[in-house]
Amino acid sequence: MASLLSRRSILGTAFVFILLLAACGPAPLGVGWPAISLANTTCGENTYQHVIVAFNDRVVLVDPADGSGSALLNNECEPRPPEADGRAKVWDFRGTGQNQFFALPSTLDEQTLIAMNYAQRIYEIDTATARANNGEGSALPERTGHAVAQPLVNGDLIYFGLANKDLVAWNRADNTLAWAVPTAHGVWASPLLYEGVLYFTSLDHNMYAADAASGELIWKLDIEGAAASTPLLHDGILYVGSFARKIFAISLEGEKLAEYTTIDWVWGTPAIHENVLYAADLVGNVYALDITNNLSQIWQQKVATRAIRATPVVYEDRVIVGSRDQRIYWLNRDDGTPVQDGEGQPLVREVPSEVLSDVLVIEPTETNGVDETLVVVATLNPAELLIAYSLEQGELKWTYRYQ
Amino acid sequence: MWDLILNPFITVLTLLYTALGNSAVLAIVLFTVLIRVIMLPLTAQQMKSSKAMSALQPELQELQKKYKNDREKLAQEQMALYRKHGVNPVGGCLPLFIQLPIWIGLYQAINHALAATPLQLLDLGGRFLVGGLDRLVPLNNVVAGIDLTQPPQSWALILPVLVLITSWVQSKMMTPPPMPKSDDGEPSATNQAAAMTQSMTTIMPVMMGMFSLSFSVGLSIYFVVSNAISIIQYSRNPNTNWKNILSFGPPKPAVTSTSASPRTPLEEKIAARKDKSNKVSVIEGKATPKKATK
Repeated sequence: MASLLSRRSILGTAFVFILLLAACGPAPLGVGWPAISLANTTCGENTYQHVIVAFNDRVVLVDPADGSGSALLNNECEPRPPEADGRAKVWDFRGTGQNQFFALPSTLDEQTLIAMNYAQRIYEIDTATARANNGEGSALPERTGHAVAQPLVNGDLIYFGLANKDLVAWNRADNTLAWAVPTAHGVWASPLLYEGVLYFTSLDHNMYAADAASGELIWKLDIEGAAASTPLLHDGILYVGSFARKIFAISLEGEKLAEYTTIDWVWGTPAIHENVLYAADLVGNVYALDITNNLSQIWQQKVATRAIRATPVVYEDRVIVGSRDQRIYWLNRDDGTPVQDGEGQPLVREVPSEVLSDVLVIEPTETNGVDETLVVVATLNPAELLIAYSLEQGELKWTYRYQ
Repeated sequence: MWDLILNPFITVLTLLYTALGNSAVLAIVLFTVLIRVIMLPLTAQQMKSSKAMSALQPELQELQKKYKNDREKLAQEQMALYRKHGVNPVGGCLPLFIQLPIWIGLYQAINHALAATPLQLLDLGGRFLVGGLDRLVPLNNVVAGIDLTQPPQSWALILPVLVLITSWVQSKMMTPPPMPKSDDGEPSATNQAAAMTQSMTTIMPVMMGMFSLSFSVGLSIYFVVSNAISIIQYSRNPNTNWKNILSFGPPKPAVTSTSASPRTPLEEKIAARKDKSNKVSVIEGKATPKKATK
């Protein structure tokens, strides 16, 4: 019995140790969510539209027509010959050192994307080859730490929000830090650039405005809680949600114009359509607020059982949101009630994993090969990382498997 | 289910953070101490049970020898022995298993509250049981230029060293001393297990120290404080085998309780029974006491 007890103690200790190891370490792969958006590449005279996805240690392009990996093209703009094992050569960029990309790359020029991974390595990615022009990437000078925000390009200056603290401007031409706006905590979202001024939020409970050229602080405003999203600019007014359970309307001079109290934290950037602001909170509520009347409530609906992190998508008469409860909801824009499908049931689609990423709506164009408007969502399940539904009836159109 | 442990822990940790002048380090230290103090009755029960089992080892070994060919009888006699001395053979395990989720919850609470990645911060939402605490989020996690959410750098590199040292001392103090070899010179099953434990207690602290190089600083602080509390607890045990702490090899036999410290009531009972059984065996062997002493 004693030996049994000793063995149990050993097993118990080993069990705890494994649990600790499983949850420790600096951001192991798989602890983020995919960042997705639409991106265009050009080849010769042609422009191609893709869904761009940054997830784990990779950035991939996906064909919105069928959900296959976008092909790498040769100089004649034709797909390159397949690999020796018959697999198509697809656009797939991998960073070094298994470090995650929490944010999408930004467009540096017609042929180049710029990306920063969690370890603050900067990659300049050639869109024709899906390879980094700067090899294994370059380190951000003078700074160590992490990054989770998408870079913002403004000529030779690239702005990076750093996860520990500060917004910095990196001068690409001479690889120096041009300036830094000090913050007391991390900057987890890309800044907004408008008429030479950068507007950005920080986890330090403030919103900042700084001169985009010099980095000089113009104003700083207490928004009562942490904020992890880019502000939205509409008709000369900034809108931002915060963990203080509030949505603020703020003038470009840094004055609070109106505020609305939500039930829980607001993470995503709000969306505005026809003078109505749409936002969601982390317990599954969706809000419609009148921006012409001090953010007064038009409607509020408890839609999901878990968090809605991302920006609601507003398209024609619908609002579409994805939730951590593994569902996609189609709502009527007028009152937030569920849209009915052909059988009179609420139009809700279950997905195999939580939805934390932004939802995309892709309209048919001459170049993207899409034949009807699609709703594309990203999950945390690599087997079905992207799922496309028809906007109208929520029919499954394709899924993308993250290889 | 897990939230039942995690949410109160995160709430208390954040309340301590506020009460201690927004110091995440002090909050982690005090929170760890608080949880360990709350668990004291459990750890005391575990230590008591383990001690009682050690005291019974000689008799258990005798039974093993006596009934080595009759497992059923051996089990019956062992149970009878446990009943006689009021010892629960799994009494040492139960508190350990009750403590496991609390330790994991403590660790997870620190990890969540410091929120190094977006997913951790997202998971923090909705976990506060007291209104208004979410306005403190995220906790100020930079102390003296060191980010508590990141692996140690500069002066904080002392932490992995402290984790290693405290883990080492703690695990050596926990290692049960081996029993003397049986009459036939073979190591007992207990000693084999102790040897196995010994190798684990040598490797694990080194591994903990190495892994602390990639843990966040906040977690290293938790490990150091938690280990220090365990060391204090075990040092109060008069039977602690201090010689083991500097030992890299197999554990040295413990000093018997008769010479090292006063006997517990259970040990007194067992010793009394041993004396009695010795007398019986001398009579059965038809040896006189004088002859026996020669």
